[in-house]
Amino acid sequence: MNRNTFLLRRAAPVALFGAMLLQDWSCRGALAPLYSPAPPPAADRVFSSTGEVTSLFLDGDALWAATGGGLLLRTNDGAWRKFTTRDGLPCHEIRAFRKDATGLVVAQTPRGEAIFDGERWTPIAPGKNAAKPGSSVPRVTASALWRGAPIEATFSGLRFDTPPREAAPSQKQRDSDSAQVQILALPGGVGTHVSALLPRERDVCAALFGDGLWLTDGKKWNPAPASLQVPDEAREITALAGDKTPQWVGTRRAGIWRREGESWRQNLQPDEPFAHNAQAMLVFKGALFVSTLEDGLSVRTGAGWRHANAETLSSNAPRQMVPFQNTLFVRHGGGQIDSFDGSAWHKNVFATLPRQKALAIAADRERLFAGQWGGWSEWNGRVWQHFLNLPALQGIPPMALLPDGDTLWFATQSRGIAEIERATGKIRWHDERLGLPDDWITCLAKVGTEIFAGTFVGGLARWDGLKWQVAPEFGGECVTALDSDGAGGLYVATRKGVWHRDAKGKLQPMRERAPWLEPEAQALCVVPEGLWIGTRTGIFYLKSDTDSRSDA
Amino acid sequence: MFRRILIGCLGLALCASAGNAQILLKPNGQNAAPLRVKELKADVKISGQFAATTLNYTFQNETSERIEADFIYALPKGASATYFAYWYGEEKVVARIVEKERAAQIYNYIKAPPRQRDPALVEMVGKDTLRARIFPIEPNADLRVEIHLAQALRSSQDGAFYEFPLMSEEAGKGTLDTLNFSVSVKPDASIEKVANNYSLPVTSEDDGFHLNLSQANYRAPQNLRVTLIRKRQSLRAALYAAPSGGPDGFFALALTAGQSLRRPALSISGVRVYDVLPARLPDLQAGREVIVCGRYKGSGAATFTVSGWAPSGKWSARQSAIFGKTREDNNLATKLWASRRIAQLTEANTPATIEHVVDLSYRFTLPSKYASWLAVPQSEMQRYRTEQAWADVQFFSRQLALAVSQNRANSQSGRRLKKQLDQACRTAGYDPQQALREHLTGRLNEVATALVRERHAAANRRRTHELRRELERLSRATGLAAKGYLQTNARALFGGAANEIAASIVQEKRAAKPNRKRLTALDLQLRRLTGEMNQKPRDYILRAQAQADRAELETVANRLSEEIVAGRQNAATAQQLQKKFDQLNAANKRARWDYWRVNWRPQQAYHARAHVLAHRILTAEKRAAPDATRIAAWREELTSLASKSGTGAQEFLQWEKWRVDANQPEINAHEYFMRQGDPLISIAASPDARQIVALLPDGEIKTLVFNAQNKRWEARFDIPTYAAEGDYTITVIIVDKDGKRRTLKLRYCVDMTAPQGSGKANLAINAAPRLRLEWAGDDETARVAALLPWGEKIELAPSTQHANGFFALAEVPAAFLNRAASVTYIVTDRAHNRTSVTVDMEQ
Repeated sequence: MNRNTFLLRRAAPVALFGAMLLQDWSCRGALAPLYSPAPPPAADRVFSSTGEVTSLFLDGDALWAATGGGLLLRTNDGAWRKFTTRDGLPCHEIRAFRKDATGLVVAQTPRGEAIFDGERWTPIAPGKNAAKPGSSVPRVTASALWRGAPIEATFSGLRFDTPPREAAPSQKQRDSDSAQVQILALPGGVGTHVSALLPRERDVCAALFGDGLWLTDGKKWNPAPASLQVPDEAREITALAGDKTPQWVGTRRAGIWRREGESWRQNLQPDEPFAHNAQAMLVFKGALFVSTLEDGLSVRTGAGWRHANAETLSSNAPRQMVPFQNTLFVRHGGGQIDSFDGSAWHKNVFATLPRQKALAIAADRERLFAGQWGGWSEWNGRVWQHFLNLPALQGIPPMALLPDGDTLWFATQSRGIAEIERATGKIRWHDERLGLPDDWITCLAKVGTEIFAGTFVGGLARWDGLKWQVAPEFGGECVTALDSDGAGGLYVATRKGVWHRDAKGKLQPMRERAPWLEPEAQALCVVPEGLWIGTRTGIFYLKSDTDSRSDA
Repeated sequence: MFRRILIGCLGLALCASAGNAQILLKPNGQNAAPLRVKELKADVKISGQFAATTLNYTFQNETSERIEADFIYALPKGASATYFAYWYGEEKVVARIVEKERAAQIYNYIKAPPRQRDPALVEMVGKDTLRARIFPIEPNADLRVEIHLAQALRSSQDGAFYEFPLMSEEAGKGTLDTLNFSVSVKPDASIEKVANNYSLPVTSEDDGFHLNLSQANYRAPQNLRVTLIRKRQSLRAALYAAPSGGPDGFFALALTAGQSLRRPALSISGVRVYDVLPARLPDLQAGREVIVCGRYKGSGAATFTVSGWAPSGKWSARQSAIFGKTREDNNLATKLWASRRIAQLTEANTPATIEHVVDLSYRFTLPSKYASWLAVPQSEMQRYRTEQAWADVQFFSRQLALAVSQNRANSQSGRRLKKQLDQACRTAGYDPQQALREHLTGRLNEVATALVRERHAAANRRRTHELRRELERLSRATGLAAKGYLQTNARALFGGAANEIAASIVQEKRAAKPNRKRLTALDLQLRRLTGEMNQKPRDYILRAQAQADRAELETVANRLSEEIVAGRQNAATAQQLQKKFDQLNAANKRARWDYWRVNWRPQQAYHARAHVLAHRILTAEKRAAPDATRIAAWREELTSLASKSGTGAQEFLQWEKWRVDANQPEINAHEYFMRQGDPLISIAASPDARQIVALLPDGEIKTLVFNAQNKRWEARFDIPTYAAEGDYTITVIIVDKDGKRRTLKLRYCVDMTAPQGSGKANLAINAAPRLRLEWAGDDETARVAALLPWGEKIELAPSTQHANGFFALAEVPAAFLNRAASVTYIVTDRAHNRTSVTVDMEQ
């Protein structure tokens, strides 16, 4: 240990105590923090939500659950085990299960099948479970075998290939093609369609999506008895499992429910975010904020993951987060900006912006920038100043903003980048003439003195002061996020993975470091201890210290 | 992945216990395992008291993996390795001397993926230890290696002996499939007899003594020792002396005194000797040899006198021998002298001696601390040379570019760099000037920028002069016209300012009360700037006018579109905006700016609104008691909108009929108009609908949420990267308030194919020269831009003549009228796939 480290270590407890005192003092009279700080994980981690269940499979006493955030196994001793890409799965989106000829369980995913050897998953076939072009949702939304004959659920009802023996003709709709095929219309109620079926001895249990469980003997529908009915939170049923009667229910967002006696109990996995389709990420006051596609914010706090949705926020689609003057500003897809001061959320705080919708936000030490259709507005914490009449920007929406001292870099969707001298409004356009590989800019970043631009189909470009230099490694790729590594380098998120560009310009794919990273990266957040990566299907944390890589 | 092995020949020929070569197989990070020597063929030629040994080893890789061999060979005392070769297929690959760092660099370069070829790197890792790295050795394949040694024989009371370690160190190991060991001794008057410890027959012929040990499937019981029994003498001197390549010769002399001597001295008379090693003899032990090497001039008989102090007092003895004059290339004495000289200089370890050691290594092809042997198969070496030539082109062109920038191109070093660059370019088949351009274009641009700035500032004449001279120099070196760079830079530096001034002039002129004084000042500024750029002020004014018109038109178009979409197209505001819009369009009809994209907005809005009306008309007509008056009013409005949108009313009705018949709800004008952001499922349905869900093609269920702001049901979705190209359908299920269920189909398309097409750029010389830009695209083409050789970017408008065609006319600067140039088209389709195509400008 060198001397400096020693001094720091000695000083740390004193500093911490001082900080605690200060914090306590500063908090007097203020509201308590809503989210407690959460230190980053001690090792590499994968966080995903298993709330979206796509399929359930009972294998003896063991229950297999396919979810949008990995795979769950409940063993006969009641213990849950979660599998992610770190366990060899090709991806987190699990669609269904099957058993191979030797009796081993095979998981089906859009990126291929994987077989379970008791410990790990091994990919065995390329993706075949992804939707194919030209296909719509299958007309059959669920199917099962009952009394030796197939039953299929369609948008209009239950279809029986062989009519149940005692079915009354008045309750059937005759199929025009075949006298043998009969359809039992869906029952009334709020449900949209039959999403799962479970044959029982005397009847069939059907899950009516958004409604609950119904029983049919092939002649008519009956609501399931009260002892079977699921609670309101579990009515969006996607899967059913059980021996002779439903014992397990999988839902669209609320995870797995188990019937225990006369009631249903939710089985949530510990330390999981509500949603994981990350669009942006930021650490604010020690908590990690993850904005998701349509499920609001997932917040990692010292007390676990928390969820903020449209009850608290302007919408469930937050898209961008910027800290400014000790406040977090969150921009939504609909253009509203919410603020969070550490204690409370405030909705649509800039409703009076001239163009009403903020399409991009950014901040430097002095100003918050809100990009709007045809220009931007600047806020110094007290007053707004508007720059919405520059002729060259009229009719142009901003995709990203980068304040750079007296210059504002204004990224667009079809014009490249406007380099704007803020004091004079003088504009210099950067486009293909200066080497930009694409005129649709997705994100901007400044590292040291260099400006980087991520593009929609042209990969990454670096401004060398004269020309945009293109990294050939990213040819044709969509760059979704950029973040400085704090050491002169840059992390680059693309739809095909994350790359690190060091200070010398050397590029290295992060999948070399962590092959289990999901490729569709959409958000990055560098913290002193490591790197957070947000993807469509999970939130990943890579610790800087490469020696500690075990999942906690 | 290949594995790495360690072949250790430590102690080979060093001591009896070393026995046969000990071969170890060492996979990465694991313990070593033995690798077997399969065959050994040795040929030893002894002359005087010096031996040249040729060893042919065949090793067997018994593993099923491709491995790298680490061959470590401890040389016998006093021996020097003089040759190394290995077999790559049928090719015998002989090692050549390369400076150590460069050898390692080449080795790693060739070995590295994706090449993974077959070099061998031989280095001295200690004073007497040789390390050979060979890669790859294929699974189950043999590795054949040839090594040559030069050494002096040890003396004994009887004469001298040669020993080779044949016996394996480990019991039960060291069995060879084949052993063939032959020894020849050159006739010498002092040799009385040649004996050996294997009781092998020794034949004596005119060319000397011969013995041979040939065995199959044989494990040697002991090391081989061949003894040359000589007459007893007070001083024995065995000389090997012959010229090699040059006029002067090399000699190696083995002296063995009958008794121990202190402070011995050697004098040689009859032949002039120099560079003798060691310069001073060490104390001699009775019956132990001392080896003296050196250079000599001339030839013939010489006398060696050794004097010193014996225990009995002063002692002296002499012998004579002949210094040969017949040339023997790379003879034994040469190698022995050179290896001793290298050892001596290596110990000194100064920069000068290091250089000398490297020179000696190259000259005598001997490895040393600073030079290694590198054996690279012919094919791989050729590939390496070509790739290296490219690297050299880069290196020398960069150095020469630096020299040109610093005005050192005509210095001695500059001329040398030029020569080296030419040489490298010849090997690589590249144009030296082009190579130089790659490094100097940036500087040329910088100097041009600085010169334009200096000229504009007109402050420092000396600096301007210096810059001009550097620009000329760079222009000469690269063959690029400086004028073009000056013009481009002037435009880049002052074009923006000129545009702004022109915009200010236009703004001032259009003001209600133009300020004439300001206008005059602005005009003067514009003239000065355009003068710097060698351009006309009028062009800038025209462009500024067009931009101002375009901005105004754009604002009006946006506002008008909003009014139309909101269904207020007949209100006074919309009427005024329409009037203004038409006026602006008419005023700019002849301008070269294209307005198609701006014009398209209101047109789209009319289009969208027409869809809404068509849907309403058809829905109303289906009702039991249709409101005829209202329907008639809507029909009238639809006809008006349709005519403005450029599409027949019937087409809207036909389209919406399909939707109405399919029970699909009205989609409001915004839906048709435009939207940005995430893919969104947005459905116009009653806010009191009980539930709406969307089933995505992959089976995922999205529940739609009512958005009170825009009164629509919405859900966001994304399209994964694994989605294949093509059309997809989303099924939406609506459960109305009364419990009725309806389904709708929404379609989206995944398109990752770049748009196709071809373009032309033809110069039309009329009164004013114009460049005619034409692009013939495919159905998906959304927009086409052209990058013009003078730095302008122009958007092409959809052609009125050809379906999927795009067209524009551009003014051509005079400088580009009579020169070859090209235009790059950037074509973007509706999914933002892009293609860029470069075409030559044609007359």
